[in-house]
Amino acid sequence: MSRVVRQVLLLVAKDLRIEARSRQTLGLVVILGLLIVVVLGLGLGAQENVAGFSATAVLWVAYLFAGVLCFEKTMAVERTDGAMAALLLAPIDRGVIYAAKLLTNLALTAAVALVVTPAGVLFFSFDLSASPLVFVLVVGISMVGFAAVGTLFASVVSSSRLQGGLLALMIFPVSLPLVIVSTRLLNRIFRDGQGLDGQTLGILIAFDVIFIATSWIVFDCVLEA
Amino acid sequence: MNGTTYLVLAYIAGIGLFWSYAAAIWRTARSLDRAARAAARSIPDNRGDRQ
Amino acid sequence: MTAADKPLLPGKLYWLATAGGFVAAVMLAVAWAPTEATMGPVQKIFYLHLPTAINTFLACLLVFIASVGYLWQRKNWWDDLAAAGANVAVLFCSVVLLTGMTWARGAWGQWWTWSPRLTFSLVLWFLYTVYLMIRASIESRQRRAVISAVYAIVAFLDVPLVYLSARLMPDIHPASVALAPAMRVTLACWFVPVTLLCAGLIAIRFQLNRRVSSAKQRKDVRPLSRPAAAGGSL
Repeated sequence: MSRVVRQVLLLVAKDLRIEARSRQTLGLVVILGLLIVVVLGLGLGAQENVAGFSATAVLWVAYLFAGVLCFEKTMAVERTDGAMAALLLAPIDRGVIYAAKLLTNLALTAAVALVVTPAGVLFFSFDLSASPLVFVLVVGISMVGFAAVGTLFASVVSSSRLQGGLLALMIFPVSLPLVIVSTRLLNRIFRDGQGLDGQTLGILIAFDVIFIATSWIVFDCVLEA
Repeated sequence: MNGTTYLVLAYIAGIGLFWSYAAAIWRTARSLDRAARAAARSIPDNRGDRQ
Repeated sequence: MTAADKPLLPGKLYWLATAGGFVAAVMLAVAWAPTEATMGPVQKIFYLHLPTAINTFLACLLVFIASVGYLWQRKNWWDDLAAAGANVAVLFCSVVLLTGMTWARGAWGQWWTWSPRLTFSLVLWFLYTVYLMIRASIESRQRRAVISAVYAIVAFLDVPLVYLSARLMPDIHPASVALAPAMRVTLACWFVPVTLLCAGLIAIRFQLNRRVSSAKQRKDVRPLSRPAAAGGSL
């Protein structure tokens, strides 16, 4: 068991190290996320009091687009120098590869969220004081499901010859349940002033479990060099 | 536009779409058949000297 | 000799029966079924809407099964079957959306609300339209089949999630009508032609896909035989 964990962490460390050295993806994606927030803010009329809770919608759009780019890059790393072939030849379970890619993606999207979320809060005067931790929790849980599916799809759509936008096209409709539920949870708290709905939160977590399990299993069946 | 109009609209749109789709498939299949038959006629004989 | 010589199954009798079924069903709905008190004649859209919705789901299930089949056996006909199922699923889902929106407009004055039912139909429509878009944007036969299969599996397992999350949407117009016996009979009568149509459409679409695949294969193979023909007898 610990051997598996060690393998996963090794792979994640490798990916993050590559990312840290090149630093291209993260910078690009963060700026894109910020731009999306600004575009939407301006598009909504640049008013002083845009309803604060529309920040959730804005943030989701930014996360979705930024996330898709992160997923593409994480998989693209394996395309250079026959890295994927080497990875598959190594005596590690394919499930380990999936877990590692998923964690890398989560790390990257978390890094993006760390920058873009404060920007959203700033530009929309979003009042998180009601329960900032719950906000982080709900967004975090939704990100996990989003990354689970994104990691799987990115692994099959891993060719530069394919049409751009294909990955986004695949991930968005599948992720809509996450958007719906998390928005509902957050609106109940920040717009309607009610508490955290445990049942709905449970549904969100269940979604994550289903996404991760499904993606893990299918990944195992289709990964090829 | 009263209720019955909407009902008629819905029925026509729905059932119409169904059958248009079927018709489109039949049309495509027919033209594919025609093309395949034409292609079969024009494949050159393998005994190449006979033209 | 070629697949082209075989006619498309099912044959004329099947389609005539289905068409007749539709005629009978419409007459039944319009002339015999009782008009609902609160919503009026618009409610009768339900007779088309529900069977179509059920068949949409069945078509989506077929896409799922065919996709699993393809990933398991890697035989092309599974892929052609999945594509056929998805084609029909999008068609039927479009009808579900259109009838649902017309019903909403007729009963409550709005073409669109983010009600559970309409939201669910819309997301379902997107899920499977994206499937068709994916297929359209990949040239390579094998990659297309693998990617579509992976997507279809996740998309189908997403359907209950979409259903659950759509249920969280505010439902200002709960439309569960208590069905009088005559309504139930009418509904049952509608299920027959709609289901026959769905199955038939999938069947002919599948056969069309198979013919297109084999035509493409023949085109790829033929250039190899020409050098032999030009070079004289073998």
